[in-house]
Amino acid sequence: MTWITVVWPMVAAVCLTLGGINLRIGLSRPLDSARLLFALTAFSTATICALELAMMRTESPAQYQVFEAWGDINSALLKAFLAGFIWVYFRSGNLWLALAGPCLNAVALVTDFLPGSSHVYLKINALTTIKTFGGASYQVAVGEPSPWIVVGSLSTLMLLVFVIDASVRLARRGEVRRAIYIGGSATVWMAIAGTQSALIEIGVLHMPYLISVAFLLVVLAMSFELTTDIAAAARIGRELKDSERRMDLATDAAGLGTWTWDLVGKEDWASARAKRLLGLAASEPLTQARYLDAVHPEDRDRVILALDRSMRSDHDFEVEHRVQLHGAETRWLASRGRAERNALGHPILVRGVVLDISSRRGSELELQRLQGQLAHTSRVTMMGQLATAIAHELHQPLGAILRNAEAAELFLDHDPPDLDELRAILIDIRADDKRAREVIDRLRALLKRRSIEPRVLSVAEVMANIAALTRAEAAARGVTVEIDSAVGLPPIMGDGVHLQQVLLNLVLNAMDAIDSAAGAERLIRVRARRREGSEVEVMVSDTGPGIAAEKIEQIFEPFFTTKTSGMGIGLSVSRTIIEAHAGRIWAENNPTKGATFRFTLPTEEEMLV
Amino acid sequence: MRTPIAGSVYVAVVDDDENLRRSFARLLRAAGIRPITYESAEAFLADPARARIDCLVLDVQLPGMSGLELQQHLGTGGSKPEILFITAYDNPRSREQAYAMGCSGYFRKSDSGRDVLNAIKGVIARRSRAT
Repeated sequence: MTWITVVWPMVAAVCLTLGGINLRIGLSRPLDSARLLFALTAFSTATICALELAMMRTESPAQYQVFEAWGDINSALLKAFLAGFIWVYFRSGNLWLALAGPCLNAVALVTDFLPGSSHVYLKINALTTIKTFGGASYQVAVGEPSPWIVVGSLSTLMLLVFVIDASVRLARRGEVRRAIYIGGSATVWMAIAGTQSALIEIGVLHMPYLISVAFLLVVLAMSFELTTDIAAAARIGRELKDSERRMDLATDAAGLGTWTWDLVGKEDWASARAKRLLGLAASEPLTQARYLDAVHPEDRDRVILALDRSMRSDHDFEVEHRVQLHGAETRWLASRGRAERNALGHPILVRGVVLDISSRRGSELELQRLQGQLAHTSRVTMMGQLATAIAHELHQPLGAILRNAEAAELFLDHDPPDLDELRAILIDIRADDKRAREVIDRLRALLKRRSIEPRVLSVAEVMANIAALTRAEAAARGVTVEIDSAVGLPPIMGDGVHLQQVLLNLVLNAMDAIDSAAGAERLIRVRARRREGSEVEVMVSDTGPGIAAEKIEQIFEPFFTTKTSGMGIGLSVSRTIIEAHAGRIWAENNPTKGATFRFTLPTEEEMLV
Repeated sequence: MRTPIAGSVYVAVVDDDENLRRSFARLLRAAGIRPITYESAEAFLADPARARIDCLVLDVQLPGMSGLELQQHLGTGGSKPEILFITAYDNPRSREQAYAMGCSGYFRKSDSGRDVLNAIKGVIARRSRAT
C-alpha cells in the first residue's frame, strides 16, 4: 500500500461523489445543464484516475497501450465537457474556440485506434519501473514519441485560450469571483497537466501523469461554485417563506384577498379569502372569466372597460363593483390589479387584490342621505324667511287677475259690451296665472329634496333668478341689491337649484347683516367675473358690520349663528354645495365697510377635462 | 257711447308692478274713468302736469320713495290731490300714519274692486262739486 494506491482512488472517489450529487440535482426539473456537464467532467476524471492507476501498475506494454488509448478518449471527453460546462455556466466565450479543441482532439484520437500507433507513442518498446518516495513504484513507457502529440497539445491549447477568453469576458461583466475560481483553476490545470504530460511523453520527465489528480483542483472549484448556488437557493427559500408569512399577515389584517391570473398558462391562483369574497367555492379556480362571472351584471361592463384600459395603457386597474352572492345578497368590492409583461410588452400575468367595501359604501350612502336631509332642512328654514317675499310675489299676479275680472264684469254691462277690451283682459289673466304658477313652481323646486344634478348653466341666469326672488324682500327692507354679471362669462357645470340656494342664502344673510349694522348705506352688490385658471367667481358684498376676524372661518361651521332667529346651517350647507361643485367658498372683510362672501365654480370646459 | 263720469277730474294710479297697474287702470276705464298711470313716486313728481291730478291711487310699497313718503311730500304742496292707498301689506302702523296724514281711504289689494271704485267715485264727486 503506497501513497499512489491511496491518492488515485481517493481522487476518483471524490469525483464520483461530487459528480453523483450534481447529476441528481441537475436531473431534477428544471434541467440544469451546467450541473449535468459538471457531473460528466467529474465522471471522466474518475475514469481517467482509474486508467492512470492501471497504467502505472501494468506489466505489459500492450496493455499499457490499450489503457493509454482509453485514457486519451477520456481526456478528450473531459476537455470537451469542461468546454461545455464553461460555455453554459459562464454564458460567455467564443463558440469557435470551444469547438476547435474537441475537434482537434478527435483527430488525434483517430490515430490512437489506427493499428500500430497511438497519438502519443509510435511504438512502445518497454516498461520501466520507477521508484519514488514513500516506497511507491510505478510503470512508465519507453518508446518513440509520435508526431501526433502535437495535435493533442494543440487541442489543449485551444481549450486554454477559450477558457481564458471566457473568463476575462465574465470578469468584465462583473462576476469576477466566478471567473477567477473556475476559469483560473481550469487554466492552471491545463497549464500544469498539459505541460507535464507533454514533457513525460517526450521523455524529459519521468513521473506519473498528474492529469486527473491535478483536475481534482478544478472539480473542487466547480463544486464549490455550484454549492454556493445551493446555499444561496436555501437562503432565498427561507427569505421567501418569511416574506410570504409577512404578506399573509398583512393581507389578513387588511382583509385583502389576493389573486393571480396567468394569461399564458393555466397557473391561476387565488387566496382563500379572495374566493370567499367573490363567492367561489374553495376548490374553484379563479380564472379571469370566472371573476367576471362573479361580478354583478350591471357592473360587468364597467369592470371589463377598466380591465381593457389597464391592459392597453400599463396603468394599474382599479374598479369598485358589486358581486352577486347566493340569494339576493350583493356585496361591494374594490379590486385593484397590475399586469406583468414580457420582454415584448405583452401582459402575461395579472396580480391583484380585492377588498370588501360594503360597509364603506353603506356609510357613503348614509352620509349622502344625511347631507341631503340637512340641505333640505336648511332650505325649509330659509323658505320660512322668504314666506313674506313669496306672498308678495303671488299677490301681484293674483291682484291683477282680480282687477281684470272685475273690469270684465263692468265691460260686459256696457251696451254693446266692449269685446276688444274683454279679449285683452282674458289674455292678461292667462299671463298672470302663468306668472303665479311660476312663483309656486320655483318655491316647490326649492322645497323638494334632491341630489345634485349638474348640467350646463349660465351664472348670469342664476343671478337673475335670485334678483327676481329677492326683489320684494329687498324692497320691504329698504335694501338696494345691485346685480352685475360680467359679459361673456363662460358656462359652468352645476345644479341650478342648489346654486340658487347658496346665492339666496348669501343675499339674505347680507340683508340681515345690514339690518344689524343699522347704517345709512344699505347696499348689497352681487357680482360675477371670470378668474384666471378657468373659474367663475361670484361675490356678494354688503354694507353691514363685517365679520370678527377670528370667526371668519368658524361661520361656515354648522349651527354657528349670531342671529336670534335661524338655525345657523345656511353657510355650512352652502359650503357643502359649493365644494360638491368642486369650488371654494370663503368670506372676507371689505376694506371700507361690511363683508364680502366669495365662491368659485369651475367652468364647464374645466370639468370636462 | 260711454259717458265719462270723471269729466274734468283727473285720476292717477301709481304702482311699480306693470300688470297690476294695467289691470287697475282697465278697471277704472270699465267704470268710465280714464286714469293716468305712473310706475313710481318719482315718475309722478316729475310730471309737470301733476298739479291737476285730483285723485291719487297709490301703492305703499314703491321703489325709491314709498307711498307714505310721497303723501308726506305732497302734504306740504299746494293743490293737494286726495290720496287713496291700495297695498299688499296691511300694516296697522302704515294705515294709522296714512289716515293721520289725511288719506281718503286705505285698501288692500285683495279688497273688492267695487269698494275701491266707490271710494274713487266719491273723490270725483267731491272734486267735481268743487270745480
